[in-house]
Amino acid sequence: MKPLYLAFIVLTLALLGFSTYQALVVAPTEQTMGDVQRIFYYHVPSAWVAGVCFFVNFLASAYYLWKKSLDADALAAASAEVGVVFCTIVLITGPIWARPVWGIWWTWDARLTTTLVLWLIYVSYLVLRRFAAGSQTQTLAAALAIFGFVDVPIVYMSIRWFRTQHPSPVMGGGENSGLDPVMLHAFLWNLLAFTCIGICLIVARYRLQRMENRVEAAHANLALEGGAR
Amino acid sequence: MSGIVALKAAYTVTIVVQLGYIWYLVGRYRRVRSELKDLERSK
Amino acid sequence: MSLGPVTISTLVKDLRMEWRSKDAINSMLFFALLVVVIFSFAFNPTAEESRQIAGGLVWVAFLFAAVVALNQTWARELRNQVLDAYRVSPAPANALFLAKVIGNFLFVVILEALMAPLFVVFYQLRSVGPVWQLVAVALLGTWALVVNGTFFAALSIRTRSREIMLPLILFPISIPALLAMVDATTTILTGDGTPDFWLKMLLVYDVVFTLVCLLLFETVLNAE
Repeated sequence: MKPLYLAFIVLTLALLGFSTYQALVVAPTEQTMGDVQRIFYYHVPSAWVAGVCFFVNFLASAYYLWKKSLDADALAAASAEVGVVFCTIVLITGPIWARPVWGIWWTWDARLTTTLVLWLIYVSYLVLRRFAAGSQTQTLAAALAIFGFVDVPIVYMSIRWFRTQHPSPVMGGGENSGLDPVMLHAFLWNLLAFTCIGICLIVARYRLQRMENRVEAAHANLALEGGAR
Repeated sequence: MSGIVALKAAYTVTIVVQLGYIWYLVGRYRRVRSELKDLERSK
Repeated sequence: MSLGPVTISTLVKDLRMEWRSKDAINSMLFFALLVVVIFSFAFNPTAEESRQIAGGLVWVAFLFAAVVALNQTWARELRNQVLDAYRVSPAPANALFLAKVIGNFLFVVILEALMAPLFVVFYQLRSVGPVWQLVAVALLGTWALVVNGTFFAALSIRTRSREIMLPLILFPISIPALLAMVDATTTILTGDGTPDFWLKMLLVYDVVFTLVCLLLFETVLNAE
């Protein structure tokens, strides 16, 4: 493993340790929800990182369609997978937060529902990647990625409208809940830590993809040579 | 489900999911490394 | 060779072949009918209740029927290596795409027109809102499903488990359109508010995704 990467991993772990300390100890207890509210410091940064990953996936896919760069495709694959991981975290920590606060595991509120749909879209992207045959995988996946990302604002708007028509409890304290400065501080540290984790994971998954591409290319060459003999 | 239990559960789930993903990556890395070694050997 | 004439000639050819065999329309009709009957075992609504749930039921039935149609969109082309011929020919790829979309659109709309009276009978449906709005929702919504569905059907022909792959990648992306269709239909049937926003949203969805499909279809057709 490259020394720079290793150093970055160590830095990330240190950051996570510090930010978790901020979240659990330094940040004040919230008035209405109590300590459960501290889930916020892991839940929201995860959502942020997932969103960034999917945006990276969109850019990489568009670039692939333009320049047919296999590295761009590798980045697309990596960012989608890491995005789904963080999205999964959001979808699990959300209900865990909701249960003690509102007594229900799930509510079809705008943000959680949008996250679920996002998760579905990018899982379908990963399934397409797994099931597509050989050389067309990259193009097909890139096309689906464009569709998926273009859909995101539409999904959000439609669910928002649906929710104004059929109101229900909103998770995470609503749109305008103000943040105490110490809480904001803790939140930003966690945001940084989670972003660094995301970067570490994407880099790892990207390298893995490139290695697998090399193996596949080598196999293809061997097959060609074997045929030519 | 009380507040503190939920808090611990949420933080644990987050860490576990990330560790699980890292474990999955390590498994795939091992497989790719061994495939690369086989290719080197067969050249 | 320009877009219009090639589209129309391809479309006419497809419609003529379908008219002779009636494969797609028959299987779609039967499937939709089955769905309606099975749902009626699960729900036994009064006229008032049925207006609340009919929106969802109707669109689930149409969605499944549409998937049946979409799955066989490219089957004929695949069997006869038509796609390879198309790649080599100077005809614009979008002509082929548009012909397929319009063909599928016509099939599904005809299916909806045939099924609508059945729904009225089985669920004692009577709309509070104006029927023309229901027609508008049906047309816009069907286009939304069919345009993406035809594109994704082309994506999934080169995958394993192609029949399950199509709904798997189509449904998540279609969720906003489905939400719009179902809620608009319910709003119109119950007379509770206006479907204006949903109609506008479906229009935006249709325009955006038709554009994206047209931009990307040639790339997907040539992927090799």
